[in-house]
Amino acid sequence: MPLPQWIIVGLRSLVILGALFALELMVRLEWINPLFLARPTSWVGAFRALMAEGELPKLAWITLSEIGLTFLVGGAAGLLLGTLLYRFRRVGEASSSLLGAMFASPIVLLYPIFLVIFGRNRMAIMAQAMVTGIIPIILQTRNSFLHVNETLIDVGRVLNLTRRQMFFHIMLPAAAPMIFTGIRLGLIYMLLSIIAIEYIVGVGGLGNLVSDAYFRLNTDELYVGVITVGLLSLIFYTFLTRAQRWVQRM
Amino acid sequence: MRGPMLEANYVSKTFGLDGALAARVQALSEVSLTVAQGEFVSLIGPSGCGKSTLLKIFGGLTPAEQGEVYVRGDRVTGPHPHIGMVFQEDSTFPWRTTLGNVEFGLEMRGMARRERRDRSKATIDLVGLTGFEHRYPAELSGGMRQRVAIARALILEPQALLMDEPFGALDEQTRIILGEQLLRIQGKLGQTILFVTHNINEAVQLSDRVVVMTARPGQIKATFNITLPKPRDSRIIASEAFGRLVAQIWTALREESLKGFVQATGAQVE
Repeated sequence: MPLPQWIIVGLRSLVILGALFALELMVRLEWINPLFLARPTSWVGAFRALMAEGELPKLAWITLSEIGLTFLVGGAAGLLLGTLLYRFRRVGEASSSLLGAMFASPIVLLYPIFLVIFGRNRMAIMAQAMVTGIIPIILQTRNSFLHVNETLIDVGRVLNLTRRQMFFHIMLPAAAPMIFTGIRLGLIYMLLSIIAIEYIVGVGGLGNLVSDAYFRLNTDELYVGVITVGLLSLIFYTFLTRAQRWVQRM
Repeated sequence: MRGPMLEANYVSKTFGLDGALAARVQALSEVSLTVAQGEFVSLIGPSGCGKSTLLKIFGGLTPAEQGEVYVRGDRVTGPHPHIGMVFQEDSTFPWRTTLGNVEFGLEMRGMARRERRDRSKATIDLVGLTGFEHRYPAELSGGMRQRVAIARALILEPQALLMDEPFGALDEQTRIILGEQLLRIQGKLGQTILFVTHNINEAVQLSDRVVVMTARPGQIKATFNITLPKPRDSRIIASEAFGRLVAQIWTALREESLKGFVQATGAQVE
């Protein structure tokens, strides 16, 4: 029998608190060098200071808006292109291996080109992230539609569904789990690209906060930046899980 | 005399016509079959003899290469509104509950929520799934999922039901019980049923007529009228008359099954 939700949440919280406590203890006892790993209590201090200066909300907003915008545009474009590549089978067959090869290559190294095209600004960061993250969304969307169970399609045909009904009530919910796998993957790549290029280029955002803290040897701030990135990722993950449930209930 | 609900005249079908000659497979050759209104007819034959293809042609899911197919006198050119279909594979929508699955067709036809809910609940009751309305397919057994699929087809009140080995993936006991339920439902609603099966016992238990098909290319080899009394339940299996009919059908089917086995495996059988 599965455990009740409150026990699962309680156990999860205990594991996290236990790990933080162990970390605090190990750093305080200097089993771990505080320069490598800051104490959780000192993260709190750095967090408060960054919040008071207004620095953290500003930088988090920059990253959040970059991820949000990239994800919105890249996700929509990826879904549309994936659907079109499914719809136009020959074009899909011709281009899928090319896209697969691109996905396997380190596209993130193209960032100087985007800097040249767009300048040293947020547009370059978002364009780079979009190109990196859109490929798994396109590929997975096409594959998801190709793998919809033929019997489910036959059920729709017997019921004389219109094309629109067939797409929205059978194809889309049947393909949704696989499509969302692609969207999650795309989001991860977009997030990584944005943080990495913010780190390298230094035009603001949480990546910039981490790189600044790293160069100043400010381990506390560095961890605040890393944890905030983790929280943003969690927000998007939760949003996607809910969106998947909603799509499947349509 | 009841008029024909389903009619196939000299239907032939070859797969792979657009490919190489060697890849072509003739599934059906000049098959003619008539099913009267309210009749329960089973198609039985070796694997690959075109039974499911014939069913799909009746359902308007695949076109006949030659010949004509009619549903209530209307020539079939696509899915017909009076036809319902139940498939061998699990065809329930995993993202919908039992209720959501059963009411799907009515929802797509734009019926008001309250009305379709009432009708869905009555149909769920008919297939014996009351109490499971809010369960998802993953929470149901294989037999229950097939009953959901049957209810989803029945709710649209089709005049003919095409069933492609609907109990093929189930164990023998579940198959017998569901067969009994299907007969009870048919007795109540009076639908015409064309039923594809590999199982001779099942065909005899359920049908008014059993049609035996030859190995590929499928043709009709023999037809057996099942004269067992109706209404029937599964206890009929124990009767002497049932055993005699099964033996007669197997005699007609055996040679075709051996041919089908050779076609499928390439192995020779003594």
